[in-house]
Order: sequence, then structure tokens, then C-alpha cells
Amino acid sequence: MAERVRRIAEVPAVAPSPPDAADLLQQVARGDEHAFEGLYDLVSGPVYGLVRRIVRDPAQSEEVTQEVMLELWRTAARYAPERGSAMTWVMTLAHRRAVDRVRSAQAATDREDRAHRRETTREFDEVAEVVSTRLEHEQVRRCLSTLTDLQRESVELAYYRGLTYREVSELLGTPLGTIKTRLRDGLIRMRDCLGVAR
Amino acid sequence: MNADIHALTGAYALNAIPEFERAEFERHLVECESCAQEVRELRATATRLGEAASEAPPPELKARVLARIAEVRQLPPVDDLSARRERRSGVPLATKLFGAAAAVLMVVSVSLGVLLVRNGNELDQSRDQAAAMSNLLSAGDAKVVSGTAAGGLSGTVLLSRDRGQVMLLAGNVPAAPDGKIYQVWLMGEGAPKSIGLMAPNASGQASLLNTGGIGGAQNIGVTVEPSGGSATPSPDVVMQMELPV
Repeated sequence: MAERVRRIAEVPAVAPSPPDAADLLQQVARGDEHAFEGLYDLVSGPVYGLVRRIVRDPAQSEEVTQEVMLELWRTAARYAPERGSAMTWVMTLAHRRAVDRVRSAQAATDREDRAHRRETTREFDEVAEVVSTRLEHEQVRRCLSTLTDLQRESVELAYYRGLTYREVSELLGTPLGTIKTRLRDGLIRMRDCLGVAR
Repeated sequence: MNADIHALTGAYALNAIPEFERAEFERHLVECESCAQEVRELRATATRLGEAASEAPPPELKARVLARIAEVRQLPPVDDLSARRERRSGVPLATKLFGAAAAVLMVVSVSLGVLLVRNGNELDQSRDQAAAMSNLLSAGDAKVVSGTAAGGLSGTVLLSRDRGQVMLLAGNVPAAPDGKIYQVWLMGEGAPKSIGLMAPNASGQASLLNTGGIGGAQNIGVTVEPSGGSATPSPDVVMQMELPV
């Protein structure tokens, strides 16, 4: 009997469909603070994770995450579904803010010690490795592994380190045109592997 | 469609395109629907890479963020109709700018017939541009110079040597010949240094911002180069201006 009760209790009630970022954004646009809390719960993990990967410093990553969340609150009404999914909108903003943060910090550093500028030949192998092995999403990892080494390194350095394609080119000692092309065909291969809607 | 610029869809979707090339590419996106579609798909793909890096933020951040929204005013939706009208007339909304910077900008724009590019997808870009411009003008050592070259081409340069930023706004710029593009150089100290490529919009306006340092440059020049740009300037100089010290 106890067994039966437990089994019944385990049957999930009709699961309410999980809140969707686009719906939440729409409610947030009307000033719904409760919906904003839902949006926070939904996107703060992906936003913070991405920002953290680019910015690395935890305190600064928190600041950037906060900026992104407040920007979502401020501009929710400007989200245009025909231009892409809500999650893409959120993550594009997060990436951009994180990159702005590291590039302006970098510009300051560059000015301060222009003399030491050529030390950029860094341990990209190690970085790329860490990025690849930590990816939570098995599918993304699997798809990344279908890329050529140069495609994968280029995509990871650009996206997870926030480098421009010119910096990637310099770091990998590969011509600009090649990097441009590898970023594009690498992403196209990822798109097809992940089945991203056309 | 230019194959070389099309290859930038990947870099653009990854936000890995330097500021000075972004403007040009975004102008291209407005005209190239297949590129815009590809960018949408590649951005959605990049989003998956981002989501794969998900990591829970420190729990206390939530309360901080929720407390802050009480202090942040929300923007109204973009009014489609006025956005479209604005796009057609090509008149920039000076109201997007603030204070003194806006006043200076208005003077610069009106007196030289130089307008910020603004249409469709370029809203973000021109907002960035306006922000960059007000930022530059706020520098203590900001200088503005302008001039007109043969053929009616006009140019205004805003610069701050302290901040290492220079912005060029040009008007009456004819479209570059097929397979060619305009390239902007800083000259004076050693070899000419490229600060970016630019292409005029349909109204013959072109602009470029570079934040990579000015050094001891004494001149700014614009040349015509093959579409990917060149490592050294060609002799085909369309404009040259002396920079204030």
C-alpha cells in the first residue's frame, strides 16, 4: 500500500510548460517584475557562464551579468521576434557586453605597456582544451569535435575569449582571410550539426 | 555580392569584428538579405555555444538585480512608422544624443552635410556611433577639424590624442569603383598606419571610428584600395587632412 501511494505521488501533475524567454520578455516589457524574476531564473545561468568565460574575473563577471540583466529589463520592449529567438537576443547582448568589458580593459592595458605588447603568443591550446572539456552540453561538445582543429580553435578563441578575428589571426599565425573563412565555415558546420533552424 | 565581405558573417555573428569594420558590414547587411539570414542562423548557433557554458551566478546577485530594476526606467517599443519615415528621409534623430555633445554634433552635421547613417539594422550602430562621438567630444583635449577636397568631398575629423581616438565623417563621397574600397590612414610617424576601411552609403556619407591610438600622427588620409584593403596606401589619395596637435 505504501508502495502504491509512493508511486502515485511520483506521477507528475500535468507539467506546466516551462516559461519561454520570449513570453517572459513580453511580460517584462509591460513592467511585470514577477516575470522579470522568471526571466532571471531562466537566463542568468547562461548569461553568467558566458560572461565568466570571457571576462574570467568573478567580481567583474557579476557586474557585467547585472548590467546585462538590467539592460534586458530596460529594453525588453525592443525585442523583435522576427529577428531571432529571445535567447539569441539575450546571449548576443551578454556576449557583446562581456567583450566590451575585456576590450576596453585591454585598450587601457595596451596604452600602459605598449612595450610588452608582443606577448600575445599565449597558451591557446590550453584554453581551447579547458573550454572544450568543460562544456556541459554534450551535443555542443560533440559538434565542436566535428570541426577541423583550425575551425574549432578559431571559433573558440573568438567566442569564448572575445578576440576579434584579426587577433585570432595573429595568435594562430594564420592569414586573415583564412580565419574569416574558418569562422564562417566552422559555424556553418556547427549550425548543421546542431540542427539550428534555418 | 562581394564574396570577401560575405565571409565576415561568421566573425560578425561571433561579435569578433573590430569596431571600424562593423559599420561597413552592417551597411552591407541592410542590402544583402541572404547575408542577414545567415547572420541570424549563425547567431543562433553561437547562442548554443554560449548556453553550453552555463554556470549559476552567485545566489546573492539575484536580490541585487531585482532591487535595482525599481530604479531603471523601461524604454517604450520602437515606433515602426516613425522609424520607417526616418529611414527614408535619412535624417538622424538628434534627440538620441544628449547635451552639449548633441549641440556640437548638430553643428558639425548641418554645416558639413554629414549625417549619421541610420536605417533599419543600423539603429544600434548609429546609436553606438553617436555614443562614441559624444564620448570623444567629452575628452578634455578633443579637437574638431574639417575641410573640403577637390571634387566636393568634405571631411570632418574629431580626435582626442589623450584617448587615442579619432573619428572621420565624410560627405559627398562617390561610391568606390567596382572591387575597390576606401581605406583610411594615419601618417606622420614611421609607416602609414591603416585605421580602417569605409564605404559611403547611398547618400554619399561615410564614417569611421578608430580607438587604437593616434601616436604622433600628423595627417589623416583616405585612399582607394582593392576591396580587402592594403598593407600600404596606394597613390590614389582622395583626401588628406592635417591633424591638430
